[in-house]
Amino acid sequence: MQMFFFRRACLVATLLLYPCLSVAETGDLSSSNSLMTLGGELLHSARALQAESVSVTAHSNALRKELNRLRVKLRSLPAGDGREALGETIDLLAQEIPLWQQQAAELRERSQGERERALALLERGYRELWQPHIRLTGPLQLEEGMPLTSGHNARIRSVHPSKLNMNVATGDSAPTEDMTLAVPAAQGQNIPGELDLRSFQISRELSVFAHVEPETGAGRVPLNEIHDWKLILSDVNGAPLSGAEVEIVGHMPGHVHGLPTQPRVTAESAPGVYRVQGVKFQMTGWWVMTFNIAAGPLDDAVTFNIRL
Amino acid sequence: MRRLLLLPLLLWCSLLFASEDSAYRFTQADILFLSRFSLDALPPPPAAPDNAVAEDPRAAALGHRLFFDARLSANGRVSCASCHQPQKYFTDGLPRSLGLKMTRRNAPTVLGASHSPWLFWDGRKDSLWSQALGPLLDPGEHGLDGAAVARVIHRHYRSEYRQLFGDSGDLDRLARAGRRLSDARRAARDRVLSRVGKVIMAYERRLQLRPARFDRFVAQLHRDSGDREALAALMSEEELAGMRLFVGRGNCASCHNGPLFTNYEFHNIGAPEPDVARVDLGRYAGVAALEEDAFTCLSRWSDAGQGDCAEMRFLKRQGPELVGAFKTPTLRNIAQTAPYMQAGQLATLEQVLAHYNAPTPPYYDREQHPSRPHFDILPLGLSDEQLGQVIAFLGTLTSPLPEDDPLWGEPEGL
Repeated sequence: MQMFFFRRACLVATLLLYPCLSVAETGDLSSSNSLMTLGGELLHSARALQAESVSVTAHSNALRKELNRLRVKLRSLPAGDGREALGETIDLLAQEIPLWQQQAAELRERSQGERERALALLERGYRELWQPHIRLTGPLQLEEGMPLTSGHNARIRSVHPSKLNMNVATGDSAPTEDMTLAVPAAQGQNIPGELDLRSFQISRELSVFAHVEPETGAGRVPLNEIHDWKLILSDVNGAPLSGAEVEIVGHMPGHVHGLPTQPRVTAESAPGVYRVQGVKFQMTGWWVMTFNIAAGPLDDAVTFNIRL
Repeated sequence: MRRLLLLPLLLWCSLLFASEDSAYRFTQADILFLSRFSLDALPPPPAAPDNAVAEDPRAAALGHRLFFDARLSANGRVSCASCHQPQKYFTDGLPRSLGLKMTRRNAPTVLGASHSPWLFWDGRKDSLWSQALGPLLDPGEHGLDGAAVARVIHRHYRSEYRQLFGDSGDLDRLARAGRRLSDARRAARDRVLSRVGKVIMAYERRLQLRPARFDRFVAQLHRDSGDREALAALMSEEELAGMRLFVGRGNCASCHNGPLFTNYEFHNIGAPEPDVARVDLGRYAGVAALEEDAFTCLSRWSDAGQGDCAEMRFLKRQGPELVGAFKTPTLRNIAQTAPYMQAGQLATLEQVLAHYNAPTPPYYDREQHPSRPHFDILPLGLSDEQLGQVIAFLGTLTSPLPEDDPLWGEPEGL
């Protein structure tokens, strides 16, 4: 445990110093690399903090269980000196639990904050490294002037006749300020408020860092039109991930259905830069695009949220 | 006392006018939104790299004749126009179409079909030219085989064919007696077939819709959205209320959007299963048929180059949403093209709206369906009055029949 905290202290110190270093070495690839390395380490540290938080929570839960057991025991104990001592133990334990819970919450919060910083660092380093290939740095967006059409309104795969009434569509959506037509836009899709829409993402197993962007004139996503995407894959140090097998799965969580086409990777135009063809979205709303990546022993997946 | 009476009357009048005014009040954002449904927003049909004669007027003229020619059938009485009658907006008014026999499905309109990436209710064809071959070769529709089609072309259209495609060697070869189907003969047969499809497609691509009342209403909004009288002459308050429901609470525009009121996609709305003994798998079966089809954009009979045919190359082959799903039909002229659904199960628009208002989930048979069908709609909970308003609005999508358009009638000299 001590060793762990020492490493973290070093990491934080480096982080604090980093802005001075990066000013001196802008554009230097090795600095971008180390930026990513740093981000990668921070990410692992965030994950370790998360694991620690989980184990602290488990410990707190075990204490609670023990406490309950002792309380049951206390109730069945006849009056006497043994009973008093047990009562004191129970009180002590009961005071202990909130402390553990608080520690778990703090660890979780720190882990989240660290993860955010790690991803920001990774993205910054990645963007410098892959600059010649990247045109889009913000979230993926719909082409301008596209029709305001929301999707059909299924939230469920199938409905039992007896349950129909539970799913009656809600009334008119509030008309937007400048419209008298009450057009339901992305209504009933249960889109989480803070959706991570970044086009730069770390993979599930933290082994791949990836970026996607549409390869269209305006760099935006057209509706109802087959178009290409660019997918850039690297390891967490920014080195290209070449020759990967990529499987693409797209779906709308609010509608329980997938893409109207089956997109594929058709070429690797430069090491780590893949051409994805056959992408098509037939409606606006919240889409989730998952790229399952296999390369040698690596078996991982990276997911992007899109709000069209 | 009289003044006391007058006051409520005045108030009532002002309320009445206020409600009328708001029915015809449209903001710039509204008008922009509605414009996307107007025929004015309809682009020309998408490029057809798989059909080299798609834009050739000579091909369209020949296709026009073939479309109406009943000699292209086993009994000499069935033409494309038998089920796609111009006077009925290129449908036939029957629940299920009647060729040599009763077919399984309702005849969809040809109007606007050139804009769809997939043809037939289940999308089992990827172009109009390939689609045209389906009924010709179906034993229950025109009931011909490739050689019989070639003989009709050889006998009646040899010179037009020759002019268009440069030679008539295939026709001559197929017209000569000989039962043995050599590879060369088979290739000649399929080439002739694909070309017959391509000229019919060239004709169908030229069919155009005249503006319906809805289109003229949107045009008037653009000209002068404040001219209440001019607007009221085009659409009634009831129709406008229906339009607001259509794009709003009715959620109709979710799938029925764009100038043709369709997204060309496949959905399962749980329309009553026409034959529970032999369920219609819809798009699921359509995809399987596409993979077997000899006349797709990717076939040797297509004129497309490498890099074309994206829809076929990235065809979605699996997913529960394919099962029992059918293509969203256009709502243009919908009031004039009853009955409705893939097998004409619903006779009137009232029945259709009643289904959407309180839908039954799709029929599911573990034995016949590969998976439980996806269900794409939710009950709307509209009142009878509101349902009537939506139906009234659908009536504004009827284009006038173009009496003076020769493409909408039998060609001369047939």
